[in-house]
Amino acid sequence: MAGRLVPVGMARLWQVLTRGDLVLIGLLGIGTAGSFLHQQFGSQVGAEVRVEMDGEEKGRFPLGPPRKVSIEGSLGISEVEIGPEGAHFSSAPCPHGICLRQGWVRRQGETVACVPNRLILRIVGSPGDTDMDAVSR
Amino acid sequence: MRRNGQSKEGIGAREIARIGLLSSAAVILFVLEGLAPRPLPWMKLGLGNLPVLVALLIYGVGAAFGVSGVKLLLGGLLSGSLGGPAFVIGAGAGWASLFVMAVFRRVAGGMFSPIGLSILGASTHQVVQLFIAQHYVGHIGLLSLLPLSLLSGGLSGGLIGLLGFWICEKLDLKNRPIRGSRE
Repeated sequence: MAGRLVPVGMARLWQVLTRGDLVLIGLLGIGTAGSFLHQQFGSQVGAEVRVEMDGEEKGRFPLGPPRKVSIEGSLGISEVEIGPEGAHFSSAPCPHGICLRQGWVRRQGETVACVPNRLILRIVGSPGDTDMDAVSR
Repeated sequence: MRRNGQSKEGIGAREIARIGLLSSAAVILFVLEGLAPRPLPWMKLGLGNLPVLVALLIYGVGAAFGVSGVKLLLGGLLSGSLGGPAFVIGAGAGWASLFVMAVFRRVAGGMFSPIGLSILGASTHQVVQLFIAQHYVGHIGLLSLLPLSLLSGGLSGGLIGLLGFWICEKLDLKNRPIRGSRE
């Protein structure tokens, strides 16, 4: 009665998994891959980054020459680095730094949210373009 | 023909004690996991959901909601998140996923194994989580977070399901459910 380290071996696993399981896993895989592909290739590179606080615009900056802007959120100052290749949070006062680790965004509709500091970076198409909001709502 | 663990007649002192043990295990796992660092807030194993799944598989919907409720309340108190956004998001997503798992288990008992059931629950959890989070932080581009969220949910759901299945087998209960509620 040697206790197996791996309780369910591969052969056993195939017995356990039902057809429903496999269909579910397949659908999940397709859904994940589909939404990933849509996100990577389905939308165009944006023209501007919009900084929002609680849904209100705090500023808009073109994805052009590299620059850094400081935005005041509810906790303190978050710094946003903007360049031709996109935008990201380069420093933030939030405790976990999740927004920092989300990295760069560059495609239309992509966002980085800093929940503690209540700031959102959103890539938008062109000046005055409000369609994006209607789509992503 | 509902001859399974969901019938009320099997609930005695032993079952209540076991459900209590599952609840405390859920709270401990939930709090311990909360202490561990994780790359992104919606990426975690959800170890606290393992006892909830086991309760659902062995004792049915009522016990699972009980274990989940104890986990949320005590876990929320211990981690200090009770009533905050993280609590509301976790509770809403957790109960939505439990609801979906319970419905599928009852309506289509043999359709999913515990592993599939867990993956289904985890996926529901991830989607609902994003929807509730959206309410707090405004429209954050739900779709852009979905791939990563579903991927991590599917993987962790599969792992939790595997562990739950293993636990049910090791416990070697008379009414052990291997393929859903019906055998």
